Amino acid sequence: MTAVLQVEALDGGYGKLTVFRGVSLAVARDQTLGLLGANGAGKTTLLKTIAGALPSTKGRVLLDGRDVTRMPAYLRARAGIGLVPEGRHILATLSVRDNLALTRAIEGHRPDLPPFEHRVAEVYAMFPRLAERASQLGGSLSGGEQQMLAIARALLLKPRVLMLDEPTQGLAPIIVQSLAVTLAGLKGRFAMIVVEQNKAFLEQLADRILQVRSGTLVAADGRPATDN
Amino acid sequence: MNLFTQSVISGLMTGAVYTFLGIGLVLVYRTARILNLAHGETFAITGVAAALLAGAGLPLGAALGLAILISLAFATGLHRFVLRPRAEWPAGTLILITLGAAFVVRGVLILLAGTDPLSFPVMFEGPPVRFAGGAMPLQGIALVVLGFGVSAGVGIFLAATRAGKQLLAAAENPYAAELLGVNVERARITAYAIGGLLGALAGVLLIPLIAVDFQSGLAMTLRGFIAAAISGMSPVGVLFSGLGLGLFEAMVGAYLGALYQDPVMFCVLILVALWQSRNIRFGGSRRA
Amino acid sequence: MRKFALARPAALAAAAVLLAPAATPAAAQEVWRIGEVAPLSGPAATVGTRLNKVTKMWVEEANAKGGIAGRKIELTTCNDENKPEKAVACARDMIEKGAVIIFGNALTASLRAIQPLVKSGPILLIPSPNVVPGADTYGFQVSPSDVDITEAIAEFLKANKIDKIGMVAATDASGEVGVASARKVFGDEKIELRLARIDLRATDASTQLARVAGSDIKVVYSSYTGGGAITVVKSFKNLGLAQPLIVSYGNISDAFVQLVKDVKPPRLLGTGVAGIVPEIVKDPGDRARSQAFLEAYAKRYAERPDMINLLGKAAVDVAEAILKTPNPKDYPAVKTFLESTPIPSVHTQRFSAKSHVGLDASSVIIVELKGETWVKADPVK
Ligand SMILES: Nc1ncnc2c1ncn2[C@@H]1O[C@H](COP(=O)(O)OP(=O)(O)OP(=O)(O)O)[C@@H](O)[C@H]1O
Ligand SMILES: [Mg+2]
Repeated sequence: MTAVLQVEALDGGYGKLTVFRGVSLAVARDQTLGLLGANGAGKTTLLKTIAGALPSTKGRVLLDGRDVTRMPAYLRARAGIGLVPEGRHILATLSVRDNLALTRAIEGHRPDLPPFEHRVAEVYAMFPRLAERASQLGGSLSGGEQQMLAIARALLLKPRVLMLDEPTQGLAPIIVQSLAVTLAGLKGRFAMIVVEQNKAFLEQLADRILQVRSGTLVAADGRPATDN
Repeated sequence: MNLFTQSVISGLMTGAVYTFLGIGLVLVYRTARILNLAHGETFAITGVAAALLAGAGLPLGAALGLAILISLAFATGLHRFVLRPRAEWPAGTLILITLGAAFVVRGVLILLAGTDPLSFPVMFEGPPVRFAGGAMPLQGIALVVLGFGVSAGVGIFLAATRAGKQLLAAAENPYAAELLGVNVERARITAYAIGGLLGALAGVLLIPLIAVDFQSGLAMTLRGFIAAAISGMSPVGVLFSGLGLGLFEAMVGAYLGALYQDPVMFCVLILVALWQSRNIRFGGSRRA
Repeated sequence: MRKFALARPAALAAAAVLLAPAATPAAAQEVWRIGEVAPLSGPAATVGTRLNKVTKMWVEEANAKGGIAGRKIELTTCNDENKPEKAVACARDMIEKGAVIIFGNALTASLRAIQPLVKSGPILLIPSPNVVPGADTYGFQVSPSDVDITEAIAEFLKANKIDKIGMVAATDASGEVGVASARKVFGDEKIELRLARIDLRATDASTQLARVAGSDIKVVYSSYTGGGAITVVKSFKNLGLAQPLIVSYGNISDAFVQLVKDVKPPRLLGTGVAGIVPEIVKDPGDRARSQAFLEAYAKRYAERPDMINLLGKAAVDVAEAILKTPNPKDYPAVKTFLESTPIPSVHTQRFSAKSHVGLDASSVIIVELKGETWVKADPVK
């Protein structure tokens, strides 16, 4: 198996506070990795660090075998690391369309990009609600619509690996179900890491599930994870 | 001579200055979330540098060009070397740092140029244009046209171009912006550079009509701030607030007398503040 | 309690005895403590620094010659930033430290604030025309008063058969003084006054000028000093106005000439004391002293002195005369001395028991900028 994303013995946290230690994992292109963990275990911190929004203090992050450990977040995004962040982070004062158009920053940095209009049409096909609300301000969307927009934005980055941080948070069960279907449909197009509290949701989606327990990765059954 | 026409002309020129300075403040505030109290220093630096360089025998065009570059270097340097390394500090502290930077500039300008006012020749020479009983210098026309034109350009840039929206996104939520591939750092430095350029342009156009000295900077920041605040920190709104302020100031000065200018102006400011706070009181969430 | 009260004078005497031996041998090193309150930063810095240059030059020269009456001068210059409350703090500190003379090298509001502090001395020398000290105070004004200056303008208008004047004045305290003088003097002389005020921070003066400089107005007067005056001159030019423009004495400087040389109106006039153009000073002694000062200053600072420097010179000459009196610390005696003795300077200062203003309208002239120098003004056609 050739891993799209490979994390080697990574340490990270906030300033002097180390939140996770010695995390190693690898995800192949057609694989979906699920991460479970209690509140405060360090899941969000780990994803942010992989995305480059937080600095790591030890270890490496490789994308398609290329070391991106020192790369700033915006370049990692352009290189294909997409993160749907916890809390969605929709730009409230920009329209839905403008939220999506921000991802055009990757143009010129990726080969074989179809024109933006085609790419947008594709995500609108996946989330018709967004097409209907294209000129509405991001801040005026419902929680579910915001989650769609956050995922749509990440998809427009043409990710090599897509990370989703608690995508079901605050969504009604019926919407959670349709989200699971949508994400299942994306499987195989790129590598995915999904962080969830909702175990059933993860089991439906993930090929493998690991647990984050006070900053280290363990297998779902509690044994130390030997991921690669 | 017609007092009304002349008041309109004077108001347009004053309004252009308000707008020029206001839009730079808005831009930096919207992208870097900092009220840059050293913004007006770009005006003073450009003026003093241009006067000294032209006085040293450099052709006017070269002196102005060089002065604008110096001002740009100051604006971007302030961000890159002073503010960015302290990005995690509370906003209030950063504002104080910009005020400190303004005073440092004052000191440097005193050392370089002394306390006497300085000036340099106009770019647009010729007799004033006369119409409807008023007279307007060519440089004044340039000030008004460029002041409102460039500011409108910046407003359009922010509201309608991809780079402009990246700037707005970087301001509203830098984390989200960088996850979407936006170079937040470059957006910020662009904002400071545009702000510096506008302050410098205001200096190049206005100073030949007045004079500049080491303390012109804060006075200009204040003007810009009033216009920016009335507009609710809106890049398009500042165009109208600047124009309105200029005309209002000129009319009050002409028909009520300059002694009433400040009291009337502050009453208007308070009314505007009350009107804006109405949105907050009634639960609206108008963004600044 | 009573015992303690009795003991007090004794204790003081003892202290005096203890201190005396230390004081006597040091007498040779005793100095004249002189204070100077001047705005060295802020909007009025131009005025403060120009006066300060003359004070410093005087102290340097006097100390190089071994001081005055055997004592060197120790000058303390305190920057009041043109803020009255700072000026008061400055002056209070100087008085506490035993200053014998205070140079009030500050602007109107600051001077008014420190005047009450010298109710019983030391002598306060005032080179500003705007603050006229009462004859019962220890303040002495070494310049003509603003009324004197306005009278000289009125004289000039009458000599040219002009009965209307347009005037632009700032909205600050100095502007207030100028307006009051103008109302009084022009009113007395039956000269019609058309007045507009202008904010100190204004970036355009064209509406003010449009109001006061109609085609029936033959002369316009700007009482404005400092940077704002340039805005007035430039707006004047931009409106294409053709009348002669009279600017305030504070603008009769090289710096100002440099600033307006490309934009000056057809005729730029100014108020000033005659010493700025020594050739026309009638008194030979005054003429020689003005000439000598202009040269000495130009040599020391490599720049042409201006009106403000000249008034500073008047102040230091009076100070020197005070230090040469038998006991400069006997303020009532100094006051009587000044009120009865003309003090030679760039213009001989004549104070009296009735007036503490050393000069009058006869020392004021209307000058005109020709090329880059100020000469006596030509008539207005
Ligand atoms: N900005 C921060 N500065 C310092 N510590 C932080 C910061 N953000 C989070 N932490 C701490 O880091 C630890 C891990 O937080 P993190 O958000 O990664 O947890 P999580 O596993 O995502 O939890 P949850 O399930 O609640 O989202 C927590 O103890 C938290 O208090
Ligand atoms: Mg989390």
